[in-house]
Amino acid sequence: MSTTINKKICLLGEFGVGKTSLIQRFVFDRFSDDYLTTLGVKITEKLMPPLKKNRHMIQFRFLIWDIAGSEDGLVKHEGYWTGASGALIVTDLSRPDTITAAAHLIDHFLHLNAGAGIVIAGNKTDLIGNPLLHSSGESLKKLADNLSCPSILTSAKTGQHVEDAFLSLAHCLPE
Amino acid sequence: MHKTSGHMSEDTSSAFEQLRTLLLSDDWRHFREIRDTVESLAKEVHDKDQLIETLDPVIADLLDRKIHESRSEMAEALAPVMSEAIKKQIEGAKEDMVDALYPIVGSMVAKAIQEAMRKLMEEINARFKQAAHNRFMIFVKSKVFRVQPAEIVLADGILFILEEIFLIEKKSGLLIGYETRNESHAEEDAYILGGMLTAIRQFVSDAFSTAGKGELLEIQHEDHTIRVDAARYTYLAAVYQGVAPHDFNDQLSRLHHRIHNRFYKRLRDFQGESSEFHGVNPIINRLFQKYRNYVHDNQ
Ligand SMILES: Nc1nc2c(ncn2[C@@H]2O[C@H](COP(=O)(O)OP(=O)(O)OP(=O)(O)O)[C@@H](O)[C@H]2O)c(=O)[nH]1
Ligand SMILES: [Mg+2]
Repeated sequence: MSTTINKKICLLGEFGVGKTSLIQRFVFDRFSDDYLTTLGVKITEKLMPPLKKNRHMIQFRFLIWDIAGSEDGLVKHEGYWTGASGALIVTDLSRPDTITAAAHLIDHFLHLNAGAGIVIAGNKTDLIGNPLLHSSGESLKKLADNLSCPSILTSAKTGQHVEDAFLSLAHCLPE
Repeated sequence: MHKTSGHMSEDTSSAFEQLRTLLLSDDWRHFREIRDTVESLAKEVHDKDQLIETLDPVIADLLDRKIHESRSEMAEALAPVMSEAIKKQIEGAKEDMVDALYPIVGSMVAKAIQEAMRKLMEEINARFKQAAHNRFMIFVKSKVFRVQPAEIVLADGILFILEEIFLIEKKSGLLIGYETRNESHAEEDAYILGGMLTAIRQFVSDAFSTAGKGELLEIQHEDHTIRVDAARYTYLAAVYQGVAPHDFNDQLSRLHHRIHNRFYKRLRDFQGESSEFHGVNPIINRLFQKYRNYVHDNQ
């Protein structure tokens, strides 16, 4: 028997990096090429697989807050961030500026939610022809190492490592 | 011999029976089906109650579709007819009429009446904006002769159905307690609704930059109202249909207060573990008990 623990999780990042797409892939296993920008916030529920923490079996119920993207790292909608136990910070590997912006967002997020779990996703790995992909991957790694939090390269389009990103966030959450 | 022959004839008749069954069984079944159908149809047509029962869902569906297609038109069309009929009925007995109205005409008509009544209420309310519901009723009853007493009685006797109650942690929007009148409501939806409610509150306080001060108290959507009571660590949100009794907000606050007092420490240290709050739902349930089958009385 495992106890169910509800957790609020935020998806943060610049507009158009693929926050909504990652949730759609993770929760409903679907993807669309159309871009429909998120207005305000949309909440999705997902019961995570049970996991072991401090020798106890627990099961998280994620309430995933898909929050409208920022522009140039400018924090908007921070009212929606409160009470979150963790955040998946999403960047677009084909847009290096989204990684710089992510650094700002993380700073601010941890200021509001001290001790929260952070995982950084480098999304759109499927754009293999893109020349920026490699260097972006490296700066992403650097950012994550600085903050000593995991980074994961994902593609909402192919589904690659999308589940891993959310699972790894579950492992990062504070008790 | 007699015995034997008797036996024989029994045998023959049963053999005949068998043969008949073999030859005619299909037709026989067919015939029986037709007979049953005709009988039950006849019953439905002759038995008034039965007929009503048969038509009721159809009418409700029809109205439902009509109202869906052109809601305001429908309300407009129905309102005068209904209020005429209601006025007459109401002179008889209010109780009877509420009873009579529901099963027969179906819930959609009740909605239409409610909408008409709400319009009326709104109109009057606009004139006496500040007046509290009950004071306003007395005021209207004693002073405003232009409004039919019957209409006031009806507005007063219109339904109140408590649908759902949510206890939501303020900061995270996570659901702590939940009770519903309707067992078929999925709890998953409650989790999301809990979050959305906090998000809406957040949105409103952002949009009007009233952070800290302005507490969003009421959201109305079609014929549903969401009433939110805010305390230090939680929101207690009630979803209901119709017009709330004048002491409802008070009762909601009081209940909230009780929960807050009892679970104060656990609410303060809340980390998302709702199993620590098993005691909450029975307390919430008391409000459902209290307002089950509630009918406004008209003093
Ligand atoms: N090639 C590729 N395209 C993606 C991927 N993820 C998302 N997209 C596309 O990127 C666009 C934006 O995706 P969204 O998921 O709407 O982005 P968002 O971060 O939610 O954007 P906002 O809501 O505006 O903040 C859409 O056209 C998606 O189809 C991916 O992994 N690979
Ligand atoms: Mg989006």
